Amino acid sequence: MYNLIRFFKIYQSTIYFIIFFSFSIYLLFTNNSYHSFLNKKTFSELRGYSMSKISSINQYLSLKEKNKILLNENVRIKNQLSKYSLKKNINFVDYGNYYLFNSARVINNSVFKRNNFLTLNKGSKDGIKIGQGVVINDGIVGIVKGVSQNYSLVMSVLNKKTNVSIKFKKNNYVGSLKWNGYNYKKGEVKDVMNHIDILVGDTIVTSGYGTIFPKDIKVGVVSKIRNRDNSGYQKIEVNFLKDLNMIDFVYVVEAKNKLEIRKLEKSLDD
Amino acid sequence: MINFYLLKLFLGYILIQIFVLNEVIFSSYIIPFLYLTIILSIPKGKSILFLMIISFITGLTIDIFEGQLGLHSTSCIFIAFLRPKILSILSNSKTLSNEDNIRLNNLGGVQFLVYSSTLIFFHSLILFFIVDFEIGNIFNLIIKTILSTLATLLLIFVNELYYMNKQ
Repeated sequence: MYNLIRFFKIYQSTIYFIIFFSFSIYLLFTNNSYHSFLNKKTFSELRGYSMSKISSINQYLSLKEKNKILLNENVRIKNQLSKYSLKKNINFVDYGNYYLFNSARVINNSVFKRNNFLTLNKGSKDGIKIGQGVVINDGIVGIVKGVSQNYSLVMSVLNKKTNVSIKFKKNNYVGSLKWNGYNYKKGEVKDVMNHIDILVGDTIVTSGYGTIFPKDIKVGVVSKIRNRDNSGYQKIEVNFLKDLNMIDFVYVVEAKNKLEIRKLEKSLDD
Repeated sequence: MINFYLLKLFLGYILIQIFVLNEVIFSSYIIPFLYLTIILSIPKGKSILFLMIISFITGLTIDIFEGQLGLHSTSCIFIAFLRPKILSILSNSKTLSNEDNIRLNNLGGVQFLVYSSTLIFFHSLILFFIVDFEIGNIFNLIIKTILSTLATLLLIFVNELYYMNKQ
């Protein structure tokens, strides 16, 4: 017994270290597996509250610039509206029939981590559900992964786990967009075969597969192409059109017929 | 009295870290961790358990506000473990009384530099390693660690000089 106590006295610091260290490592792995958002849900109300206070100050400071951007967007939308009303008798598909748009404000955002998340100021009270897409004008932001009553948590495009289905506007070739973790202004498309002719400057838009994002939203422009002969695929670097560090107002998108489409696709598997 | 002092220190540095330093990011390579002053300045005479608990709570508070539990607490626990070992090497620490906070003015310039830079270096190294868990880009990891260590050291020294002048 005496020896045991002596042992504890000598190795006291190591024992405490092992206990605390293993506990914090446990915290790290249980809470940060990218799919479990337990910690984020429990603390999101508290974090959301404090961050909304900060962002209200930040917003006030950039009011003038925001006004300008909003005005420009208004003009653009009005122009588009007038174009549509002319085309009304032509048979064309309108987003409005298939997607519901819900506006929200970003109250916390990060772009410098390996896995980035955003917090929005709307939650289940405003009809936001897990799995909806988040877009801006000329860009995609992410996918809703957690919802509390007043706030929601969005997995950004700038995340290891995000995988967005895109296509090249000029030839409709479909690929998937990923982020490699270094520069928040650049994405990466890896699964394009070598024989497909793609040039610097080509536009990339969302493909509309998967019912998360609407079709034909502009995402970015090809900035660099690297051929990798041995694999048969080329690696394409994409410049995002919008700076994801400067977003403020976003649109949360819901596909109206999502459940129906899922059901139909599932019925094939059975 | 001492506890009241620690509480003031704790709240002050944590608030600065959460609301100022975590918000104002120059680049993903340079992130100053001023809150480490809390762990650095705990008096020598305190028990190892006290040191560990304070470091753990400090790290956990930062983690909660960053949204990723376990990152800062793991690295803080590690430097709390390392701290007594480094203090025992430094010669000036033997004349230090058990109740004094470890600051620039009672440890001396060079010794404080060695003491703080070692701890901050290991803190940043472990933190950035845990964030990615990728062994592939060691070069990137080391650059990040060194730049962040320098930024933290600069802030901590400025802060210590201000503290010295105030006394």
